[in-house]
Amino acid sequence: MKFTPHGLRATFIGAGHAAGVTDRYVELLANHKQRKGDVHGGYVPEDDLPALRVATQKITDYLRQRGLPF
Amino acid sequence: MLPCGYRDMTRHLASDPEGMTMRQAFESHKQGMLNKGASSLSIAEYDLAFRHLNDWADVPLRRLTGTVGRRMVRERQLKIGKTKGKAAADKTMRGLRAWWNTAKREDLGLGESPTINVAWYKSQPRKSALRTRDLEQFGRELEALRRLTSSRDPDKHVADLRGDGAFSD
Repeated sequence: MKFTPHGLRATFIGAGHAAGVTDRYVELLANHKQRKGDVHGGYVPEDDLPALRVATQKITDYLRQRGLPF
Repeated sequence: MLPCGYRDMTRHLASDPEGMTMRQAFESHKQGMLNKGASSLSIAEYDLAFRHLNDWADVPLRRLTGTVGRRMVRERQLKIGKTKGKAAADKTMRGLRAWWNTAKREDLGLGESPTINVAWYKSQPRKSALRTRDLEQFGRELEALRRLTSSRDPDKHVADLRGDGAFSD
């Protein structure tokens, strides 16, 4: 198994997509800038904490179901 | 500050028949980045690219044209690729192309960027995400690690991990 600390970030992002979190929320959680040409991205409020919490929980649940112990 | 008056300009042209140096082109490009609010991280990347070409800083860009110039640029990219890595080499060349093209807007005698002759590595970022089928094993090792570290000196533990290569195979 190949492991790098940065891989945890990539794993989190990948899990977000697999768990069905929308692209913009995965990007927000990863602190990525809004893409050029992403005209809808600006409509997603960046400080909607309850929504971000729901997205994070989805990712956590996904990882737990696949064997991560936290 | 560039001279702007008519007299200043004629003197400027007489003293500067070779056009912009690499450093002038770089500074001009950097000013453009600052104006459009580029992040300090992006600017740091250009600074690093410039440093890889530091020995050319005061060379007029026009001397880096023609067959010889293009060959020098191509060889420099390969050299950086060997010493600093492929990504650094390509990044440096992208930087050179960027400030070259900025310089072209001012220096009408300047031709195409010699980076046209670069054999790009086009290296992709490492695929570092854990594979889904590895998550379970990763979880078990994490759990074992937690049991161990709760009763041990963390520094010693990391040293042991490096020794037995628990996270690489």
